[in-house]
Amino acid sequence: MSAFDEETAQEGVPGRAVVALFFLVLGAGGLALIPDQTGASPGDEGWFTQPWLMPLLTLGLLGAASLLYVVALWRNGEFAREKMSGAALAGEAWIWLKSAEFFAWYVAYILLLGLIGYSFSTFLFVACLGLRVGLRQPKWLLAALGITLAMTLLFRLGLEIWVPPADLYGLLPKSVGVFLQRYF
Amino acid sequence: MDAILAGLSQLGQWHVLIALFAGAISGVIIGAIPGLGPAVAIAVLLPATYAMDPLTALTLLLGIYSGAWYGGAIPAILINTPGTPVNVLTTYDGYPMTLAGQARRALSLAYSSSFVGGIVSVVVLIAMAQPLADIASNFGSAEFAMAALMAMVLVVVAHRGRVLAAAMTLAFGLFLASVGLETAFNTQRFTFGQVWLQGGVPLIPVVLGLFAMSQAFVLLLEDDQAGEPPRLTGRFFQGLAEAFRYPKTLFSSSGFGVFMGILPGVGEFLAQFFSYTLAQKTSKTPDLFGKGAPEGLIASEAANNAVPAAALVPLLALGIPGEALTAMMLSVFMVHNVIPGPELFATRPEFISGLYLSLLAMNVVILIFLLFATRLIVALSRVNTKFIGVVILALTLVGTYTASYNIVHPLMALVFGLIGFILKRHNIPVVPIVLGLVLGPIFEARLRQALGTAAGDMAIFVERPYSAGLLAIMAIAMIGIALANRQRRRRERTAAAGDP
Repeated sequence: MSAFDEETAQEGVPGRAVVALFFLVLGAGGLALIPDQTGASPGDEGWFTQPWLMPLLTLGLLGAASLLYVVALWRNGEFAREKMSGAALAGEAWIWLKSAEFFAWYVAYILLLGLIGYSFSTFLFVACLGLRVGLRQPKWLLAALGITLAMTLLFRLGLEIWVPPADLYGLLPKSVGVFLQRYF
Repeated sequence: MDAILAGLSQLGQWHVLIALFAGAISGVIIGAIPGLGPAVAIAVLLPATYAMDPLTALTLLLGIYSGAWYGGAIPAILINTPGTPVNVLTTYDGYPMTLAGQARRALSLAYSSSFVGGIVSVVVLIAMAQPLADIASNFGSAEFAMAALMAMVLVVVAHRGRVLAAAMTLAFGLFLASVGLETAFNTQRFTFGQVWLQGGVPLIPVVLGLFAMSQAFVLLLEDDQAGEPPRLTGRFFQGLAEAFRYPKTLFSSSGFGVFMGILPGVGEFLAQFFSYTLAQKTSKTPDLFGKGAPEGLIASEAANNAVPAAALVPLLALGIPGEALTAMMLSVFMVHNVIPGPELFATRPEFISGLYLSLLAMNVVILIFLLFATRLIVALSRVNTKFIGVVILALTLVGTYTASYNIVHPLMALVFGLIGFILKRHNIPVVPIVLGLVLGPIFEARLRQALGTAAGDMAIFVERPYSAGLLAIMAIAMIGIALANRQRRRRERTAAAGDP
């Protein structure tokens, strides 16, 4: 096997060609956008001062490396029908989509932070996401509580990380709200 | 003597001591949990360390970095699962020893080998960083540009069998580094008119996404890998002294680790493979390798633990990180306006000696902790991996959201988390992205300065002796790696042809 073919010889899951094509399109598309998305220096300071130089070099390298990678994948049969079939790619896309679910969980965590504060939102996030991934025994709720306390101690009390005021704390008596806002 | 005393007074500060113990102990535990690893922990802690003074922050991060390689040997030996990727070879001989009822002996062999590797590496750092910094004091922009280029080239060629993929992701990282407001002429580059992109692509969301979130996604989607803690059998202190019965393997492997650690981008993997191969070739019992050979275990552990301190040589002397973890550490320097390089040795000798002493003390703390807490670490390392995934995600909030208090950074981290997850699934390296992001601005600024002084004449890079020397090292390393790969392929072809 040549050095070039060895580049893509490892057994992989379907979809590697899609990833390589994504980088190729990114490189080629970026190169095409250079006139629009960068500028030229106003005077005649030399080619090496041009703002477009670094994007040109990096996108050129990205395009060239990804093109060679695509060719190596093609030579190793990664574009073969069985690896690029709808079923094979759909299976892989489904796994990517499942990871995207955690994206939504995380955004919800951030939104909750402004509503109920750091500690309560952290407990809810850890406990509910734990339930979602199958941690259903009571011990995991206790573990979520323990982790929340540890993180509160470390970040809010120890490192005094500031978080925006929570709406919930504003509804409580002022002294309680200020205390919770400061430490929780 | 003054420098040692100044270093001791730095190390004696209570916050540095707390960082030393916390970093070392948590590093061991993190390393012992398969699927976690120091990159995840350092990425998560990085934003919090910006509020600390540089020595405290670096002591904490280096404690995690060093401790993790020690801890990673525990599951590699006990359950045949490396705690961190660099402990793969430890499974070859460590696990057969466990099966033979010698788990404690294997663990103590790994600990003492790691300790020797760690100490040798710190001694080399102390001996080499200052002279290299003295040489670097003669460096101009051309040399720094070439040093950055050398780091990038070596990072790519060190990914054997994945060079094209590494070049692709390095270029992606370099491109990300070029996004934002270009300061020389106030030109916007690839901002698409978005205000939030004018400051460029920040490092923290990228490292949190690529290392922490992507790993959390992996753990959340996989079945739980943890089982019952294995029983520790055999005699514990037997292996501690046994490592010294193989001084050639112990010290040559440490030497390999140091050498590979200094070379940017090469790191633990090549160090342990070279050490293991050499140990097997020079052993009186080569047939025992892979079946529980103490020399195999020593070679693997001494080599990978010799890398962390050695990796600091180019960072401290030149300001050039050679891999992702030191790239993250460079950001700690930058936040505090401490510029690593020749000036640091002249202006902050107490910081340098404090760092050296903390590295030495760290290895001692880790070894003592391991000697007395192995049973506890084994129990902790069997935590449900899905729960670890949930906790990693929760921990990243501080780094992503509280750095800017807007949704942009967390979303950016999530996008990089997805990118990292997909790249990991396809065995495409993510480390070059971070190195591209860190080294890109250094390379661009130095390239411009160098060419500015030479009126655009590229010959400056070969006319200046140090710059030409760096180019020569780069060329030799590339040719050497290419020849070694060619030889290996030829051997494989010959072996395949010889098979019936």
